[in-house]
Amino acid sequence: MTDRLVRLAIQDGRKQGEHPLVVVARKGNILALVGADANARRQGLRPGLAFADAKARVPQLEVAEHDETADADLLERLADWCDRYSPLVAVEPPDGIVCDITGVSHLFGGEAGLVADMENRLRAQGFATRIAIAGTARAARALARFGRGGIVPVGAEAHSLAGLPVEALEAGEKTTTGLRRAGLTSIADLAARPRKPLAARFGDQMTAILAQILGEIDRPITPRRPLPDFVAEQRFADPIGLMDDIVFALTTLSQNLCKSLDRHGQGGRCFEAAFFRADGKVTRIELLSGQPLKEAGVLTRLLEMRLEALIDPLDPGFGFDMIRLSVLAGDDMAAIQSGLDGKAMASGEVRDLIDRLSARFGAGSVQRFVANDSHLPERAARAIPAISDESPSGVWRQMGPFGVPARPLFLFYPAPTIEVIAEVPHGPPRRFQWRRAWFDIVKAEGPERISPEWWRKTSDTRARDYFRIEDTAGRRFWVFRYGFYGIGTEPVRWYLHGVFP
Amino acid sequence: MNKARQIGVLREALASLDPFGETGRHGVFTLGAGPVDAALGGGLARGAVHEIYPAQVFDIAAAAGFVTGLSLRAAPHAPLIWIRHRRSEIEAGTLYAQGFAEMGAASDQLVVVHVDDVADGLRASLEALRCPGLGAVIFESWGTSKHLDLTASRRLSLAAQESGATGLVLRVMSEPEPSAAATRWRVETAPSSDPLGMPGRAAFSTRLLRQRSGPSGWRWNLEWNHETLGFAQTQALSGLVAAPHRDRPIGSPGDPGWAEAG
Repeated sequence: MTDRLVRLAIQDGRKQGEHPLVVVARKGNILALVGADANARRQGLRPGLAFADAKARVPQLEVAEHDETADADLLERLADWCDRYSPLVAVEPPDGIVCDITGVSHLFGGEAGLVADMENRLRAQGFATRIAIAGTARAARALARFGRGGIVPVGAEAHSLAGLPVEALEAGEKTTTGLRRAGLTSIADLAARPRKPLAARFGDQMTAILAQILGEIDRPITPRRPLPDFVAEQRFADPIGLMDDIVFALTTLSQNLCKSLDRHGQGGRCFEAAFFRADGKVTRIELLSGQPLKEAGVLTRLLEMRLEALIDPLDPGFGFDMIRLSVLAGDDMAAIQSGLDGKAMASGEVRDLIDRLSARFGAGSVQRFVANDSHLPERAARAIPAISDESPSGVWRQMGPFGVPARPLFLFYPAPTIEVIAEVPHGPPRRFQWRRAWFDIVKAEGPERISPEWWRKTSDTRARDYFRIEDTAGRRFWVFRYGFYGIGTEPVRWYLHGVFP
Repeated sequence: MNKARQIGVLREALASLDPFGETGRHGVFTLGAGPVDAALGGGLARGAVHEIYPAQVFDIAAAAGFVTGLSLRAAPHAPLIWIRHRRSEIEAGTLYAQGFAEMGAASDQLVVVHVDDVADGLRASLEALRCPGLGAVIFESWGTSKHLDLTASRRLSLAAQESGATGLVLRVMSEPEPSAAATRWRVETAPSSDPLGMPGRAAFSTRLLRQRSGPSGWRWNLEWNHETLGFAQTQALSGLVAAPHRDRPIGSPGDPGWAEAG
C-alpha cells in the first residue's frame, strides 16, 4: 500500500522518500500502523504498532490514511497483469497474488527466469515484491509473507518452511496464541508432532493448513477469470503501438489460433483479445460470434471492426509488450445453428454479416425476433440478439379477420398515456390527445379484450380493451382502455399502444 | 446500319458504362398496381437505392409500411436487414414483429440493427448492402446529416448494384437532398377504404418526387394487400396532380414544409 502512494506521488511529480512513510487506520480505539515502507521498517516500525508509539520512536513521519478500496483495486489490476505469466491467477487479499505456473515456467527460461522477470518488471512499475515458488499455493504464500521468498525444490516444503513461525499458518490470533503458549513456535515444531492431538486441540482447519504448507495436500486455486480453451500469444521485445503493427500481430495470432481450433474440429463462439501494456495496464476486448468460427481472415476482420467500434479507443501508451488471443467458449464445428428458422437465413454470407454487425455495434444492438406463446401483445414477439440460437415458443400471426391487420407495425412499450374523449362505458374514443396534438376519430373497431396473464406474477391485473381507430387524416392507431368505467375505484386510463401503417 | 439502330447500340453501350443505369443487371420489380408500374417504366430497379420520405413524424408508420411492401415486392421471404436510428425508435415506436408478420412478411427473416447516429447507420447499411443473399436493406435515418450526402448515396448505390440487394432509405425528418437514388418518394398516411366503416388495410398517399429514368410528379393512393403481396391503387385522389417533370429539381416548390417536432 505504500507502493501505491509512492506511485501516486511520482505520478503527481511530488518529491518523496525523505521521511519514512506509514499508512494508518483505526483499529478499535487506537490509531495503528497498517503499512510501512522499507525506510520505516529499517527504523523498526512494523504494521500493528500503535501510531503514538511509532511517532515517539520516529518523530519525522509521513502519514497517510488507509484506503482499502484503492488497494484492492490496484491488486486486481496487478492480478490482471499477472495473466501474462499464467491464465490461472487468483487474488489473495490484502496484498498477495497467486499464480498457478504448472507447465508455463519453461516459457520464461525456468522458474528462476520467471521469478527474475517478474521481479524486474514489477520493480520497474514501482512495486516491492517477495516472490516464492512452492509445490502448493499455501506454502508459497507462507514463504512470501513470513519467510524470504525463493524457490522451494520439489517435495522439499517441509524442510524449506521449517523455520517459519507459527504465524505463517494464518489460522487466527486465538490459535496462534494457543500454539505459542504450548511452546510450539515454528512450523518445524508442529511438523514433528502427531496430527491427531493437534487437531483435537486446535481444530481440523489448522491441521489442514499445516498439511498444505508442508506440501502434503493441495487445494486448487480459484482463478479470477474463466480458463480459455485455446490460446495464442505473442510477446514483443520492443513494445508496439502503431495500429498497423497491432493489426498485423492480430492477423498472425488469428492464424495460429484458428490452426489449433481446426486441429480439434472446433470453432470459437467467444473470443478475447488481451493487450498487455508495457506499464502494466491490461485491456481486454471480448468478441462474440453467432456461429462457430475458425476462419482466420474472418476473425481478424471481426477483431478489427471491434477495435474500430471501441468507445475508448485502444490506448497503446508506451506500447504493448504482449498480445494474447484466446477462445473462451467454443463449439463443435458440426453443431449447426438452429436459429433463424433454419431455412433461408442459413445462407453463410448472411450469418457472417450478422457476426460482423454484432461485432461492430454490439450483440445487443443487432436483433432478430422470435414469436412467443403469449397473448399479451408486448410479450408475443421478443427481440433477442441475432447471434443467439434461441428458438421460438409461439407462431407468427396471420392476417386478422376481414383481411385487415389486427396488430400494429410499430409498438410503444411502455405505452404512453393519452387523453381521450370516449363514449362511456364501452365505446371507442372519439377524440384523443397525444404529443400535444388532437386526433379526431372517424373510424373505429373494437373492443378486443385482452386479459392479463394471471398465472404470471405481475402488478398488471386489469383487462385491456383494445380499439383500432383511424383519424380524419387516415392515421391508424391501436389504443386500449385500462379498466372499466363505473367498476372499481381506480380511475380508467387510456393508452396508445401502437401505430398501423 | 441505319441511324436508329446505331443510336440504340450507343445507348446500350452508355447504359453499360453508367453505374447507376436505370434497370441495371438485377432487373426490376413491379409494385403490383398496373398504372404505377407503367409510369415507372415497368417497375423499380432491383439492386438499386430508393429513397422514401415520410411527410411528417406521424407518417413514419405509413412510410415504414410502404417500405416493407417494397421490400416484399423486391424479394419476398428473403432475409431483410432493417437499420434503425435510435431516435426513430423513441419517436415512432419499436418495430413489432407480429404486425410485420401480418403484412405477409417473414418475421423470422428480419434482423434489426439499432444505431446511434447516421454515420453508424451508413456504415451498417454499406456493410449490409455489400452482402449477397439479402433481399433488401432498409436504412431508417433521422434528420439531415452531413454524412448522408451525394457521395454516401453513390456508395450505397454501388454496393446495392454489386450485390443485387435493394436498398431502401427511409429518410425521416429530412428534406430531399441531392442523391444517387434511382427513385424518390414522399409518403403520407391515407384514409383506408373499408366499406364496413372500420379501419382497413394499410393505405398510403404516395408521390413520386423523382425518378432517374422518367417523368415524376405522379401521385397515387395505394393500399397494401397482404394476400397478393402487392399494392393496389385506390380511386380517391389518384392521378397526376401536377404536370410531370423530367428530372424535377430537388426540393421543388410546392412540397409541404417541414416542422421539427418535439
